[in-house]
Formats: sequence, C-alpha cells, structure tokens
Amino acid sequence: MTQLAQPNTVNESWRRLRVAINEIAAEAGEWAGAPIPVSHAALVMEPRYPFAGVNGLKSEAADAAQVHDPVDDGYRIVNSWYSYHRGGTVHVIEHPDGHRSAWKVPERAGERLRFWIDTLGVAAQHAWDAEVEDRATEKLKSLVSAQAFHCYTLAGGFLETSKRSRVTYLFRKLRPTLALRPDRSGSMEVISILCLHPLGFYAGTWAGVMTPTDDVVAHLLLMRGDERRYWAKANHHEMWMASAGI
Amino acid sequence: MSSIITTVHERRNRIASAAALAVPDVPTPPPPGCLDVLNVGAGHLTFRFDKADPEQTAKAKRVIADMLKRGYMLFALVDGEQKRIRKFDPDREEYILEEPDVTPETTLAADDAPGPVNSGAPARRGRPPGRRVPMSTTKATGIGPSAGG
Repeated sequence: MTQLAQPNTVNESWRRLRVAINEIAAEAGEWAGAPIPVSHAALVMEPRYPFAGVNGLKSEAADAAQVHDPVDDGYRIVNSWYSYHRGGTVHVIEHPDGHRSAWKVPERAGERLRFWIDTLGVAAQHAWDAEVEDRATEKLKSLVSAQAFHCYTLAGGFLETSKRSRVTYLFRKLRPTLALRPDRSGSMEVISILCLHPLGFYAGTWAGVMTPTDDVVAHLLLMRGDERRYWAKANHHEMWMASAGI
Repeated sequence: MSSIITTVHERRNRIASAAALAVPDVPTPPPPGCLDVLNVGAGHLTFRFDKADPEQTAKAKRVIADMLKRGYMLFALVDGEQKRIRKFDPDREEYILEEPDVTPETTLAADDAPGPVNSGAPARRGRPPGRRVPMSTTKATGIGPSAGG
C-alpha cells in the first residue's frame, strides 16, 4: 500500500523554502521579502522591485517570457471596448498585411471560474503560509472595529467609509476593493473597483504575492492614510470584467 | 447574618486602608514605538525603537531611511488615524507626516466631480510643513511598492 506523504512534512518543506528566500531578500535589503513562483501564473512585479528577474517567472518554465514583453509578430491591437450585446471585450486587430479583423473575448462565467481556479491554484502551490495569514489576520484585527472583523472573518469582507471623501469601501479578501457612493436616489452605486497588490501579483488571478489578508491591510492603510495615492496607484476594473471579482 | 456583616465591614476596612496607603498615580510612559513591515514570508517584520537598545534603534533608523528611498509607503498611527509618513529625520528621530489635500472625487471624470476642492481660495506655493511625531513612541506600518492588479 502506497504511503502518502505526511502533510506536516510537505508544509514544513515549503515553510523552510519561504524562510530561506526571505532571508536572502532581507540580506539584499528587500524588507518586504520575495515571492514564491507558481507553475500556472506568471509573476507580475512592481517595476521598482529590485530582483528584476522575478518578473514573469513561473516555477516550471526556466525560459518564461516576460508578461509585458509583447511578441513582435506584426499584429497590433487598434482598439478595444466592452460589448454588452456580446458579453465580452471586442478587440480590433490589424494584421501584418494591413487588413483588420475583430476578436471577441467573452467575459462570462467561464472566465470568472478560470480566475477562481487559478487563484485557488496559487494557494495549492504553497505560495502562502497559513501561519503567516494568521499573523496578517491579527494585524487586521488590530486595525478595524470588532464588527468589521466579525464580518471579515465570517463573510470575507467589511465596509468602511472614508472620513475624508465619504466614499464607502468594501474591502474583500482575495478580491479587488469596491468603492461605493450613494446615487441621486440614495442607492449605493459602484464608482470604481480598485485592484492593488504590494510588490506584485500572479497574472490572471486575484492573488497577490503577499498573503490575502496582508493585501487587505495594504488597501485599508492606503485608503486611510493616502486616499488620493490609493486611487492613483490602483488598477481600476470595470464591473463586467472577470478580474473585478463580481 | 452577623458573620456576613462582619465580613463586609472587614472588606471595607481593608479597601480603605489600601486607599490610604496608595501612592499617587504615576503617569505611565507611552509604549515604545515600533514599525511593522508587511512581509511575504513572515506576515510582517517588526522593528522596535527601545532607547535601552541603541544598536536596535540605529538599525531601525537605517531601515526606515532605506525603505523611504526604495519607495515603501509608511503610515503612522497618530491620534487614532493613519497618516502617511513623508520623510524621516534621523537626527531628531521623528517622522514627518504628509497631509493629503485632494480627495478621490477630484480624480473622477469632470462630469461626475463635485467641483474643485479649493475653488476661490488662493493657491499655496510649495508644500506646507508636515507635522512631526517621535519615532520612539509612534506605531507605524510599512508597505512595499505596490503594483496595480
């Protein structure tokens, strides 16, 4: 009978790898640490991150292409827009010979499921540590009210209204933050969907290189301490995009 | 019944005696400051500023200066609110805070924006001096440069 690997041994191996990588990063003066690459999603790092070779890296591809290096094959996107009728984004592509065609990318349930599965895959490949997530959760608990923490623990999100702008933010675990404000009728409307990760994230997922709750802490502190910069630094998704997480 | 009353009296007497001997409240010193830096592998690293440990304090000062140089965002908890740290004065061991003066609504589309924030007010030249808070008693959090997702 085949003996299965003990879970503690697997987790301990990953923990040691993370500690070793973190020590190397600390010796180089990178106080925020270094990410763990995964096999299915390339790393997208903040441009100022000092370890430039990590950008675009996957754990199994030694010659992984840079995520943001387009292959110059003569094709170029002329224009893009979202089509409610087609339920997806339409791209107008110009071919090398000059003629143009339309390419439709649906943004439906399948795309959302792919985002979800790929995010799950980041966790499955031990990019994060459960104990580290616990510490991040304790940090968040020290920053928010008991009611907010209760909601976050049980429902994965909480609301907070900015004292400065009066915009209400819905902070969510492993999803972009929703910025809401009342419309003329008094109903809350989404004015933007803010996506931001300290250091970097895994392409095609909602996963940042930090544990999920550390991402939430970063969003919260940025909103409270420098709301203008929060809006300037974040990517703003549209509600229909799979990346918006709605 | 008399034994219960006696016990209550004894307890009151003990409390009164203790109150008479109590020393005046000595103001408790503020808790030592610290800096938590969000970290991929550790959740957060903590740097403490304990005057009893000058080596640790000196290291913390170097780390803060290095972080600001690398584009880290540092936030200080001041009067119950998070304030962005703009600069650090290592000689005076003080954080220099930044007070943002623009709300997100000024970055919205023109037809949605409620109007200029300071309409009619004369424009100020240069950045106003920031408030200073001591590093040794301030709780701060550092976040690495952030990428839009």
